[in-house]
Amino acid sequence: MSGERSFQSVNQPLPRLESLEKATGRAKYTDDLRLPDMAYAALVRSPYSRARVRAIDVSGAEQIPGYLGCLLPEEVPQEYFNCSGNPPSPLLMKDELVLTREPKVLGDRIACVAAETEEAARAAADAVRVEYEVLTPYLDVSGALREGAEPLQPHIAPDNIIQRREVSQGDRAAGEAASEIIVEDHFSTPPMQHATIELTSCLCDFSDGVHLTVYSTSQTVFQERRLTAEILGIKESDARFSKPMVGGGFGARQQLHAQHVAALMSKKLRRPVNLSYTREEDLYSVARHGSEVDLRIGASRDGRLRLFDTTYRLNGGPYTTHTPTVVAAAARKLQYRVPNYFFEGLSVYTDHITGGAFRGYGNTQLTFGREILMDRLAQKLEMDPVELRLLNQVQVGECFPCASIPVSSNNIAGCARRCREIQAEIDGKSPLVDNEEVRQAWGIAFSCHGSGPSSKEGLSSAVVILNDDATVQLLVGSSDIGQGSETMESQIAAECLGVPLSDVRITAADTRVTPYDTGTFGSSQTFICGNAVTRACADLRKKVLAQLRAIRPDSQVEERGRGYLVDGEPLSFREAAREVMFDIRGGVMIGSGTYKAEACPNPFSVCFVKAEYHKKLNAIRLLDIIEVVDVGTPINRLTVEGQLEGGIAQGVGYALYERLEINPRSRRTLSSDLLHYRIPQMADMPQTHVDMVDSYDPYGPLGAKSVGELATVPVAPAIVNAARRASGREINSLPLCDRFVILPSRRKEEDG
Amino acid sequence: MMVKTVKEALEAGPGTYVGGGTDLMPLLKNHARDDRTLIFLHQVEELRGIREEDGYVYLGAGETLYDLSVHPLVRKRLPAVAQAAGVTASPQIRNIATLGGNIMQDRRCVYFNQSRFWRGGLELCFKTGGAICHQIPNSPVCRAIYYSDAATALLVYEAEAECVEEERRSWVPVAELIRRHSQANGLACDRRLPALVVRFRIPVPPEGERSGFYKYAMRATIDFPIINFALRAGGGRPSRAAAGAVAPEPVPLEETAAALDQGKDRDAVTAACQRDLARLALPIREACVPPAMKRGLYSHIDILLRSLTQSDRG
Amino acid sequence: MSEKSCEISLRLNGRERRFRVEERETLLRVLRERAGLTGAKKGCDLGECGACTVILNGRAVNSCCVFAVQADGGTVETIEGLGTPDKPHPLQRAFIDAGAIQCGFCTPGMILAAKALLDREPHPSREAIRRALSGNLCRCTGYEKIERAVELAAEAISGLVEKGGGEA
Repeated sequence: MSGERSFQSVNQPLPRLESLEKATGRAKYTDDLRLPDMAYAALVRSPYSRARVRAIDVSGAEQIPGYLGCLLPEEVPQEYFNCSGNPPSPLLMKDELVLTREPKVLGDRIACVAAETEEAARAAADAVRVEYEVLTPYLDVSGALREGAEPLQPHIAPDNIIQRREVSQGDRAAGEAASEIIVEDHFSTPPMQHATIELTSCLCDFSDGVHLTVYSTSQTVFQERRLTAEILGIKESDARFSKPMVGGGFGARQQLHAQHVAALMSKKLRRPVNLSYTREEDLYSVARHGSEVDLRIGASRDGRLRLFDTTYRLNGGPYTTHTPTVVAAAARKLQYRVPNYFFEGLSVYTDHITGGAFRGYGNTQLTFGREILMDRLAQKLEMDPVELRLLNQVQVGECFPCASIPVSSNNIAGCARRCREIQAEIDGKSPLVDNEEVRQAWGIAFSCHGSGPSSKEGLSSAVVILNDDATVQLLVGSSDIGQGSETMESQIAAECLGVPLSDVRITAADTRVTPYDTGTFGSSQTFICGNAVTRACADLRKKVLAQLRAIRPDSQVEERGRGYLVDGEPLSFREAAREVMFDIRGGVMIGSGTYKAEACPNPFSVCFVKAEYHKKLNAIRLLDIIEVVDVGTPINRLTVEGQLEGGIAQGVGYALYERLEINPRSRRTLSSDLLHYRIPQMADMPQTHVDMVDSYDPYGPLGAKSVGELATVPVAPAIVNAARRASGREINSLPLCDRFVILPSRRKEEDG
Repeated sequence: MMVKTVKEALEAGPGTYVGGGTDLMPLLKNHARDDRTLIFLHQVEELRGIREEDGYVYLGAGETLYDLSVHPLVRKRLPAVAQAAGVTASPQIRNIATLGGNIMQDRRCVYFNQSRFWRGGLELCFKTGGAICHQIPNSPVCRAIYYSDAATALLVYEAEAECVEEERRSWVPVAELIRRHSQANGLACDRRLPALVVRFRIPVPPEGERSGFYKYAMRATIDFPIINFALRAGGGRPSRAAAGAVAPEPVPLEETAAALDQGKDRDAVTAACQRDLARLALPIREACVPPAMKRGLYSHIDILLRSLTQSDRG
Repeated sequence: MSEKSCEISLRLNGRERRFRVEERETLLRVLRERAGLTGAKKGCDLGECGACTVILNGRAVNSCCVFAVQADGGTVETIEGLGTPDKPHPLQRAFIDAGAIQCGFCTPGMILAAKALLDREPHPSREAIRRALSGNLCRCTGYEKIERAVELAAEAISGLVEKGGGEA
């Protein structure tokens, strides 16, 4: 257990390395960068969810002062690609174009214009007249799957099913026979938008048509480089993707957005080009998939699960992007022991907002229905909902249904215990109310995730260069998008090398200088990149030791603590660093390490929610949310807490009111700004209580597992379980504002 | 252009008067309006001032919502106005948005408050100079909703506004001002009501009167109300109640007021309010708010009634 | 577009500055494009997220929804004027120490909204903090540590004031 291990730089609460820059406003985000002679581009987008372009007339744009030029669909490469920032995979069907004459979704890219200012570029985009033949879109899964529905991507799927994935073990009939109780329902979750506060932006310089430099809001610089180089027909070595500060990702930047078209515009104008989205563009650029899930869970009287049977349909929008990999990731995240497990996952094309990566990556949607059914099952069995889950929880050494790697660490029981302690404190101060007007109740949910992509495609590398004063330069390819990975990688390096954190200087996510990393997704940074860092540091220490021995062939040199012993005399790491570089037999010490995922340890979470139902008002109010996790060794306790608190907030929004809504009459999204797409504000949040339990994973760097995605997965079902127990009404869809009045969490005036 | 006096403002016209500009700015950015001339009023001293005089409380149209929400006189005499001003929009907006601008704000609709791109390809509606309401296609008029919080509060106090219109200065009931503004505001912006609001006055409420305001929005701040209520009762005069965000102008809740005067209990007053609103509300499609949900909120006057009885006890 | 332009003067972070602006130009654009102060962020451009918050005449405003001409003759404080890396303002210090900064995009606006609050109300209750900062959206932190940071800063500032060294 980590409690027994002593760490210097990890398992501490430490402020972020870059937070001073951010707090003083000096941190540069993409849209803060200015290059000499920079032009601004704006996209001409389809206002229709499905249409054909008959004609494009740019004469109006040419009248706008400052107008510089236009790119039309026929001027750009015509090959299909898949914008997903995943490494190459046969699941990632290619069906997207840089610019299209057949828009399949609101906001599809038709053309691009450029001007001297951003305002002029927008005015020019609005002034381009596009004549459309408007077609009827399929906005939901059922419409797209209806018999005779027109295929949206005929070259991929004549039936609009991008992929059907079946994963199963056991026997359905046997599972039914063994189940004395079966609970089942249909669950729907809405498309949700990431709503990072920073807007999507890129600055591309391809002025010479050979060398490309891109600064952009990026989670996956190496995949984006590969895709862009393929689209533009240039060498990867000629393409530099560099990530400035990024104002949040949550999956939205695990893909190319408009870097390709901005690069092409830069080539045409021979000037650097900034292309930044408006909030409206951001809101329809990508979404967490809406889902339609049929789910059955069977158990014997003693509470043991005998059957888990689901048909899981994701609304993918018109482009494949991530959808089949999201479905695949969902297929193997059942943390309960079930002998008879049947997962049928359908990735479905529609004309709704394109589904992409979003914190949780398929796990969120399946856990939603699963944890609600577990709650109903517990009530039918008259069992404690925590005990029912713990009874079925997969333990260390066992595998999740249909998974191939056994669970390597698990202290979910500790999480549940800690939740109950906090719960008791809360109820001690304010006991549960149940009167004529108000009824309060607790709801719970369990969840798990992986550490790194579940397909084990995670790959990362690190280089650590020793300076003569024993400080180090750390180079990693992974992107810090606000979650704090650069600080954590630096802490890992400091711990492994035995140097103070302030002696580690990290450079990350710049394809010209840093080594390859699969990307910031799948909660990979701590585990995958962290393992690469530990290996690079071990390599460096090994090289330094070897060099010391080479310098002093006649001495006994061995490692001792943070330094060395030379013939029994201590030699500090600092002295050693000087010596190995400047000695006549010295050299430059560079450690490197590569980690190809060998494991994908599961972190675990337990979430308790206290909510109340106001009977006369039909209103729900959240009071407290507790989330306690097993993330192995927390590398940075402050960061883990922040991930939990932020994950809770996103779960609150998902549960209460977030939904990308398309209005049937206008066929446009009603969620066009942050007034109509509501994310929680400070005063909307209930009291949150987060903690982490002792745990250590044998495969993790210094025992660490992931936290980012895990944090948000159990929140919405726990909220729903509290709401169902308080209101006595069954709930099988989100957001709750469809059926309940949502009372702001801490409003004073309704107290009493 | 920036003006320093009411006279200069009138000479600068015709044009659009800008108070804090927070309502206008997004509309201009979205090209939902194409006002030619902007007349900035923030330096006009005559529009400032909060004071009690001759049996009236006077509120300058240029006072910010924040100042109104914290001003001791407003909080004491006109609690519903202070409360409404204190929950409008966000702190940043309340810091600069003015009472005059809030009353003269544009009515809103999901088909109108959108970017030029979003509206592209849709037929022009009444509010953008066309002849259709996308909300209710057979409606002969625009059905966009008027969302002001402060207006609902001003109505129950029977406020009047001093307006300058075609160079004539006069006091008009706020209800009438809003009705005329609202009608003009259902048409293209060049048909706007050419009135410059200088200040408001409210007869000082009698001793013993209780009054208050309640707004329901899904989130604690920024959001426009999904519904709001204001009411006053007691003090030896007939009660008044009103609801906002349910129609193109705030609606008076007469049965509710009568129930209050008859001394009915909270449940009966709430039921009266539901009947008033079933008759008067004209709900339209709003983002994330199904009309059935809005109807469910008609009973939320209960929350206001309860807080008034509690403050009474306190 | 035939925009009228005019000259405005601002006391910007303690220095008198003059700018030639267009009549409909936003204060945010003047700060970012004319004054080169990119600490005020554009997160929605419609007054809905608070990332562009600056302090105008002592009050937090959304600079994306303020006409630059409205600030004429006024005092504007941006994050760049608050503290320096060697000498951060107590609020900046507290945001760092409390872990209130993740992606950091909302941070300048949050800090300025908090400063406007503390300038007016040096010992705010938690509820007052939540109310004052609820016009600033954050998608990373869940706000818990931001609330805490403002409390910490309030304590730090009053400590400074008591010691008589209060320049905050």
